[in-house]
Amino acid sequence: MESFIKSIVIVGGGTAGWLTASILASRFSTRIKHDELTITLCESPNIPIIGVGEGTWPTMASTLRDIGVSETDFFRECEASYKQGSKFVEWDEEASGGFYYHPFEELRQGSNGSFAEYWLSQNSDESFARHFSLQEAICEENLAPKNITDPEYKAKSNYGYHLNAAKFSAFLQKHCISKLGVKHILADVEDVLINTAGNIEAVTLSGNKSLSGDLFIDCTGFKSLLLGKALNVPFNPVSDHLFADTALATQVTYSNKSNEIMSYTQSTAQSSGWIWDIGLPTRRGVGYVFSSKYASVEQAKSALLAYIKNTGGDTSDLNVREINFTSGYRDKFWHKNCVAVGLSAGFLEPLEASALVLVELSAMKIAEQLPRTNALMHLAESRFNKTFRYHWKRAVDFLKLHYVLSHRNTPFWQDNRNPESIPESLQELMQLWEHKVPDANDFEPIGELFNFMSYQFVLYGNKFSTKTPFTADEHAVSFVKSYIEQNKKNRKQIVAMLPSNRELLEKIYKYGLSTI
Amino acid sequence: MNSDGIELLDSVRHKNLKVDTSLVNIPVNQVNAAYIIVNEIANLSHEYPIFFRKDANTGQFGLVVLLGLHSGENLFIRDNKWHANYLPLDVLRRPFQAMLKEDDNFSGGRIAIDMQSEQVKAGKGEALFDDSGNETAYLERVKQTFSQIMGGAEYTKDCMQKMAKLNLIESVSLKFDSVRGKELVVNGLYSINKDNLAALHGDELQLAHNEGLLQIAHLIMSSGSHIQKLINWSNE
Repeated sequence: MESFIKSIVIVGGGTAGWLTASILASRFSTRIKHDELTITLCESPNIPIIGVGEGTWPTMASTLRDIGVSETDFFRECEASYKQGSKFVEWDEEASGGFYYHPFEELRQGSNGSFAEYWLSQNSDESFARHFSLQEAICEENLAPKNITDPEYKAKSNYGYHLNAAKFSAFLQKHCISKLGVKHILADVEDVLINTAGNIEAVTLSGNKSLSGDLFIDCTGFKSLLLGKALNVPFNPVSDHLFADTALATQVTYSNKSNEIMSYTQSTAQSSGWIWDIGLPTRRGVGYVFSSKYASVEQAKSALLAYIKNTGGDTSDLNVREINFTSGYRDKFWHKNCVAVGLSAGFLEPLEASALVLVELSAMKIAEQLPRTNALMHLAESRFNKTFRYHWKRAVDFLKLHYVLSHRNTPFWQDNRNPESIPESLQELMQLWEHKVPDANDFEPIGELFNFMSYQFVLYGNKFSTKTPFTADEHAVSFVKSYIEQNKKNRKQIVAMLPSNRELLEKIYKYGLSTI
Repeated sequence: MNSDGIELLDSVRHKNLKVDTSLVNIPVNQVNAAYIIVNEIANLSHEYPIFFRKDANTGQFGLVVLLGLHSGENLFIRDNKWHANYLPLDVLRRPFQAMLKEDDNFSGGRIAIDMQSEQVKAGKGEALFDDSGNETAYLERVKQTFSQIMGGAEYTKDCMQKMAKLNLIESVSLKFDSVRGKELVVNGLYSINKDNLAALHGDELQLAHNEGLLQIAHLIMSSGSHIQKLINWSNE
């Protein structure tokens, strides 16, 4: 007899757990309504969430829309603000004041990357990002990506969010339970029961209860209770490539209520890592992520305090939390009837906010590949693993690239440029890019987490030099030129038209965004 | 006087002030839309196309009559005359305005006058106060206009919110060919979502009926026929 997949059990209720539950439950709402599928989320009442994932990608806007939440409610309840990209400060050189942007805007340059080629040929003083994207100018003024008259989720300038992870988690929980029919159990997992075929049969819970299911999703964070601990799927560190292993996280209050809210994640290079700075409407989230091989916690802490002081923050009453991690990911993410999503699958480091987007993509892939019957589980397993091994590997390359391009001189940075620390795949790409600009064809058809434009923004933001020996195609050049002209005009217009981040958020609190 | 030339109305200071109501073709009237309140719809729908439009400052839906097809164009004004039987209250109130204590609280306001208005600067026309300092019939009419606007503003806002909640509002884009052969588009307007209106049932239908939303919706839909009039005027 065929046995259908009728119950999904999610263990762990941080952002990863509730986001996965939301995505699956909204995708399978019909099955849930007709009792053909149940989704149960079981979380410990005792374990706090890690909650440092406070930056998203633009994918989150469509995810929220798809799971059916009101963006107005989201802003009101999650201390969310708009993020339009990342600004990298002094990554190239110490104390230079230099910066570059990796904006969220998707440039309309087709797949051949011709913009970068043109920009390189011009030796322009204007940054690559500013030349082609409106967002550098928008971000430098801390403007919102839209006006109050624009409906929910509609952008004049592509955006993601900064948010309070704990509040976001609670917000999704409420939505999952009240609107999406997700069952919620508060209990500690005491044991994991595995049958002879190696599948998880059930988890036993505190209070002599047990919870069985057809598919188990491990959202238990770094502990990886199901995939790692119970099923013994090994963890592969990538700390040879990405050195960061410690984060000191804190929250900084605004000196007054009208302080601007940054429209981007600011990432400022330090002697042994970098400091993130994320503007929420209520506070800033600031943290130093570094390698303990190159700096002690005390050294890092004093660098963090110095940064906070320099950026106008009050350091008198700071609560600094230390988070230790090993950069890396599981050998496989889906094994038998268990799939890990979130920190239980892996974690690289906070750079480029890849954590939440990987949760979104994982949940979507599970929804897409969810087998009808238990017998088909292995197909989903192998497809899922193939895709996500690729994503993680490519993410390592992309994050590493940020470090490799730097000209900073402390041991941390010098060692980052040691070829032995650079993945071969990245070395190959960089070789390639010495002679051509990155384009869509440099990658495999599986789909990129970070597409070639992201590589262009980082490479040329860091003054990477690509030789452009051949004459550019006339039509391409005239297209690029007209694009730049148009971009200049649009820039003036849009900067004049957009309100500040804070102004728009306050209007959203007061009036809300309309749905049309 | 503040820098905008807006002064709170004062029987002493403005004792001798006159308003030239015969001046119609003045800059403040050269706009292609005017805000209206729900109470006016029945009258205005006979002559003007009516739409929803979002307030630029709050994003909230308001009601407007469309006066022209281009920004700054008022096709109802020709030869310094407003060619309609009914004028929107928001036009009639000029050059006066409500001074609001808070931008949202329309009820607690007082009346102010725009000293920079051509109608004031003309130095002739309707007096506001008589020789003994009492309000003239003209000023009383103005005050009545304001009490109508203020009384209707909250109700209008409430209706708009309910209609939006019932998904009765949809974005429309007016496209038409001008005689000069160029396609023109008017954006930023919203009208009635007819499918959703027709699909109303049960409690929602009852609510829409009780609150007068159905009537508003039908008046707005029927007012759409006046767009052709504007296009014809525009082509003249």
